[in-house]
Amino acid sequence: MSDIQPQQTTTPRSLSLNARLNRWHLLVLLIAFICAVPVLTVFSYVFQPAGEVWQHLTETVLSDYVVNSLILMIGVSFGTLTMGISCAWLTSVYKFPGRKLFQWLLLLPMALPAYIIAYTYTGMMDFTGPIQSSLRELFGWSYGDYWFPEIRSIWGATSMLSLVLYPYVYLLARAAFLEQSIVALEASRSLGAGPWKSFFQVALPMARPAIITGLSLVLMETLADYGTVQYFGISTFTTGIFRTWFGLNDSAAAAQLSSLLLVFVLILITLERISRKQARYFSTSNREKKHARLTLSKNKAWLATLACLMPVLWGFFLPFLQLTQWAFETYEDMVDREFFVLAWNSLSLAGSAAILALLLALLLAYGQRLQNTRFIYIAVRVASMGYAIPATVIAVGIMLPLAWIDNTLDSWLRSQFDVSSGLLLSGTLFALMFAYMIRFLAVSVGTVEAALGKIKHSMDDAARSLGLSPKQVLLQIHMPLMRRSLLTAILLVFVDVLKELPATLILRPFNFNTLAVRAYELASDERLADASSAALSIVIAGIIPVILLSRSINKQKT
Amino acid sequence: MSKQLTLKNISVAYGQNTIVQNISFELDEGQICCLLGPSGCGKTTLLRAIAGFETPTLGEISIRKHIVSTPDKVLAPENRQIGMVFQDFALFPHLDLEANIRFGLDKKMSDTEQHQRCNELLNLVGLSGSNKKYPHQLSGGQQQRIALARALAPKPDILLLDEPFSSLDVELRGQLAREVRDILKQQNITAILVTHDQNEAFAMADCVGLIYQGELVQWDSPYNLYHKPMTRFVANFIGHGVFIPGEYIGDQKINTDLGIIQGPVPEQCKVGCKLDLLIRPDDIIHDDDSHIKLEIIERLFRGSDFLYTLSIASGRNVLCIASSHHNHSLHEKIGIKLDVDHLVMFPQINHDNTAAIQP
Repeated sequence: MSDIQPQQTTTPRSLSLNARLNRWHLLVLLIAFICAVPVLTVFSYVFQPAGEVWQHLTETVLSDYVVNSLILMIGVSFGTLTMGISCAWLTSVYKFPGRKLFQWLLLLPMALPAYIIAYTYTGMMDFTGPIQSSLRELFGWSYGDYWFPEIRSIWGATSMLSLVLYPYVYLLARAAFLEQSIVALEASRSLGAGPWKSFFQVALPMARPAIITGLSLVLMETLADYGTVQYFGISTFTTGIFRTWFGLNDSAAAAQLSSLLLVFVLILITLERISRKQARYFSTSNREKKHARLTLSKNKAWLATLACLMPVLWGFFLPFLQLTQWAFETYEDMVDREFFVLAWNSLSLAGSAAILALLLALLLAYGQRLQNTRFIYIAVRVASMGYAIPATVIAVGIMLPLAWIDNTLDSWLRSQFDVSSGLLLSGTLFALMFAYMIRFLAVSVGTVEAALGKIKHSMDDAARSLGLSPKQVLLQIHMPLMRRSLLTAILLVFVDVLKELPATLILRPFNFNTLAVRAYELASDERLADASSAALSIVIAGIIPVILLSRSINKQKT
Repeated sequence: MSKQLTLKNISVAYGQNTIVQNISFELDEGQICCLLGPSGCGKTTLLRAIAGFETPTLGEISIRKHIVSTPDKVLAPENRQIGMVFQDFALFPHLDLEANIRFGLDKKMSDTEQHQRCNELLNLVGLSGSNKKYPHQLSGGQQQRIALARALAPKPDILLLDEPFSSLDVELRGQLAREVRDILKQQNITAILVTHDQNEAFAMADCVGLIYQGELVQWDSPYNLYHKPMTRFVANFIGHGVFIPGEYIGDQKINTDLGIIQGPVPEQCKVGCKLDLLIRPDDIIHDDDSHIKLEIIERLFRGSDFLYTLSIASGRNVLCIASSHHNHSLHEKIGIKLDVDHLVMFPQINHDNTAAIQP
């Protein structure tokens, strides 16, 4: 998920009530409706009478799910806020060795999916792993002589998620700090407040809306995480939904659990929306002010370097090195014909999802540009709401209606013609692609909307007055002008799909495997080293969006 | 002459919000007209309705006697043979000048013909040889000329210009306005220009439609708009001027603070009726020998002349343009005489839409 760019929230240009229903209009509404189906399905189960399994769940594990999810959310908030805000503040205000490099190095942990860093650390911190082995060698300890933290715990999961999710807070906090007029800080200093007081009383409150936006994205990802908590054996909503669906075979109870999880998500979405609005209000000027960075004494400067090094080291370099080492040990066995089949599956799946998402995003964003009514605006927001919804929930919300359609069609065909249609939609790539669209459409819509917003409306009018139809305007004017953003949109969705785990796990067709699923399966079988080739491929692909992001950061001329 | 454009009772509204109301006018072939008015008066909306970007809520628009817009049916902009020049020029940044100019040409034209037409236009706007340049390599004035060339290339029935000079330097504006007028006249092009700048309107247009709060207040020649304003708003909006109170004393004479003014007074005005007279700066002539002496309360040196603000007895002020040689200091009393060519007067009620009393 890379919904980092602040979403373009254009207010409707005209509220023409007699706006005609044209093809674009209908298309936008149709896409929005289809995207809303899974959420509506899940919510419809709130009102279903509770079954036996649901009662069993509430009596036994439900409180665990809630408590564990809350502990995770609180822990991850603490971790990401500490790392994200301190690094953002240091890199945007002070001069210290390596500052420019850290500006983008700090984004690298985003390249690691949480489930991959989780199993990498499990291997590293294992009794036979490099950390404990070297400790024993160094101090001459043997088994049972010393205490060592257990990574496979809720605290381990909190650390893993914090390490890969803090860049969301970092990015948004950093943008907010840079946007703050240096004058406000200088005014605070001139009034006698020291750097610490200035930070806590001026800079931090001014950046608060941006930080909350970042945090709400972090928490959405935390709630959506399946791979890490499952691997560490922690009962949360996502693992619970999975277990209820596949273990207890009760789809209704799974949907009811999902709807409960959605309530948490809705709170986060509201939080995000409110803080994005406030962020616009809080931002002091549109112009990027040139910051005169503050100099630190030599010791303090090195401390700052160390502080910025830590998250990158633990969140990226150490696990990356470990994965590389494992890959070197095992690639001869693991990179075989099957590996290339997996890679091809992943690449073609991600590639087609990215292109489809781009096409849908173009339809939505351009449809909205053609007819910017309140109604269309809401429809586009609904269609791109999936970034906040856990993939497990989306999968449940897709499986239920698709299975219903399949079964209805099948039984009708059987009764009428005595033939069976089998599973046409559920359990096919269609279902999987559907889930990817819902989950990642926001990424491409956001990118395309931002790019379209930069093209003046007079361009459209000029092209129309010179004889082009709306479709031709899109093809001949907009798309050539936005080609870079279109490529970015494709790349972002491509990598997101490549990394995606829970929806793929649930919805993939029988005998169809991807790199992410294979890495996860091998790791679950305690074959950590064997999983590394697949994992490393995913991580390397994940670096692409980080490079794109860092390039856009450098463009801000800081 | 054939009617190129006809608007009948056009209204445009967004929801409950009426932007333009009940506007009708006609344009002959080769005529250049201007929609003039303060910002937010609805003139741009009206232009966009003519172009086909907005749907009228009432009325109809015809181009060359073909109905193109009614509340139920709007011919798409791309199908109505109009050319448009935009405030920000809207040149396509990814295309070179030749591609920009050829953009609207009929795809059935051969490559050589298109190239030829493009060169013709580059020549017309004085930029021949720039075919391979890109918009960002041009100055503002040059971009403006290319925007004009691009709009003219497909030989539109009507050319629409939306504040075409407002993003240019003040000095460039006047010069370019004259150039554009010459080109349009030479090519016999029917054009509508939207502007809030009356100098631009007067320099470009054969006729001017003054729009205020969504309504067409006066559709007239620039001369009449200045000298025969129909309402107080027009009198105030066009040119400088002040109203001074007066009383009709019979025998075509009006008694004012500036003395007795003689001229045709309309019949509906009986002896003793109170009037407001419009006095333009050019109605007051500086004359040292005159017995009417007024105090200077503000002086503005404008190079070739002085604009003096003079105080009259009733507490109102009048403006007077004096040649640059007549350098008087503040609070000095100078002599003036009136040279009122034609009287513009309104009954004494303070309302913008009060109609003038026509002689």
